[in-house]
Amino acid sequence: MAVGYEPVLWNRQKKRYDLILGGLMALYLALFIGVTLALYPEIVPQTLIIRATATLAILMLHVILSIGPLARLDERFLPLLYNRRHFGVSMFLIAAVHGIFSLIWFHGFGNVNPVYSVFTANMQYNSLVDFPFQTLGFFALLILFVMAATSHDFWLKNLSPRVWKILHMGVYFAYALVLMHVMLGAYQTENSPIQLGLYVLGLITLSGLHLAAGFKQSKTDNAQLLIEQGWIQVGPVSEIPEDCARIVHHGKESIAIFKYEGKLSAISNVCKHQNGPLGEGKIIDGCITCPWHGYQYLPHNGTSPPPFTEKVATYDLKLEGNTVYVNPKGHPEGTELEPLVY
Amino acid sequence: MITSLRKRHRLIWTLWVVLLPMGMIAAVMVVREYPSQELTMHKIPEAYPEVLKAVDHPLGKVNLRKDAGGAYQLELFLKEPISSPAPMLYLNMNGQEEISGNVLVGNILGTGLYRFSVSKEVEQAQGVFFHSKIAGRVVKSIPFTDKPN
Repeated sequence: MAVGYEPVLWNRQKKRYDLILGGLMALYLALFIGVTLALYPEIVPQTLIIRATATLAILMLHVILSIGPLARLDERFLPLLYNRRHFGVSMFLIAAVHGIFSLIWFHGFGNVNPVYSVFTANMQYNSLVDFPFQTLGFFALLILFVMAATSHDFWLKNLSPRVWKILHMGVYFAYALVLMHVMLGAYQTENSPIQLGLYVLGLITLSGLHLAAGFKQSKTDNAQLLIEQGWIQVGPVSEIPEDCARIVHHGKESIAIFKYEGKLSAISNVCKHQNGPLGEGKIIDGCITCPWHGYQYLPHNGTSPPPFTEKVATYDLKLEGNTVYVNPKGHPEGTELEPLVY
Repeated sequence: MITSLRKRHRLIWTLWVVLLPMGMIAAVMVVREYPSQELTMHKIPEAYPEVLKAVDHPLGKVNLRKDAGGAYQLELFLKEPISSPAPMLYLNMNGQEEISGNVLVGNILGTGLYRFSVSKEVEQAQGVFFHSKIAGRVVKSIPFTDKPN
């Protein structure tokens, strides 16, 4: 969390994350270059750089796309999500090296603008086998650039989390473009079954993870609710774990009902930062803490503790016997409500 | 993610599960099968075991061979190129180096080893000669002057 904007809000975990990430990237590049030079000593440096960065970028893209659904399916992966933006920007930089080297190497020595050449050197857009696959890579890189450039809380705040998220869902289109870029490009000339097998494995893994996480969530979204006179039945108090929440979805509302210190409070389940699921977080130091990036809110009024200014809606609760009910009509963001004592 | 984005997310990945494999299959199907290099010469048959006649000549070696079943084979190892392209190899049966009255054996494309199946009459051949259709004449010859082994 930050009151103002800084290029990078460094902390110990981010430094550790980036150090491990940088180390693994360097290790991969060293291994790829070493093995390639041993097997193909005649390879030219330009080709080596283009291939090393291409394979690393694809590998990183697969890992990045796996983190979100893995964290949805198993909270042990949440630490990977915490600094995923640095992972994404690093991947873009590697992909950019691949793109720029390819642009110079394959299009930089003609008499036309290299970018213009990407689109006009091969005009067989109506052919699959001879399709100008470099254009697919170009557009994928463009999407990744927009994402990397807006990977900052400044843009998140100014674009709004919803618009920012929609923009960053562009990574799914970038993945599709990258996959077809390699299938119609590199695979056409070096069509080894290992290469194809890796792409198929990647697609099965990613689509499996995303659909599993998506449909797991849809079960919660579409759960049958018992509504009595405008109040949604949440369930027995005893079923809500201490310092944790139970989430209910009703129409466009998603509400997290927290139990703590003998009290109950309900706030919006949607974090103001990146729309993370607050109800999947815990109460730490008296604050509801978002599991994605650690944004915090006070349970009784849905506001971030000073000096922070984030606010979410709060909801009325009532207790009938041992059963908790929530009113889905939320109060304005930051409205203070007396916690329900049970 | 909020509900509407979650729906969008599910829709995109459901589409990808259908579309991307189709794209990949199409890309695999259009991979070009580059033809392997075709040999300019046919595969040379195995040499017959028995050598009936062996002739050594500056142009090359000629061996008349026979197998256990009584089939004959003319073996030519041409060391020097023939000046006219693609000449025809003939058995010289009548001592005259001309096409008529002699037996056509096959076509010679360049230096190297050739083996031709021939009939029994090869035993009466007095030599071989190379006739160029383009030049319209006999361009080289190898007489069988050596005695049988």
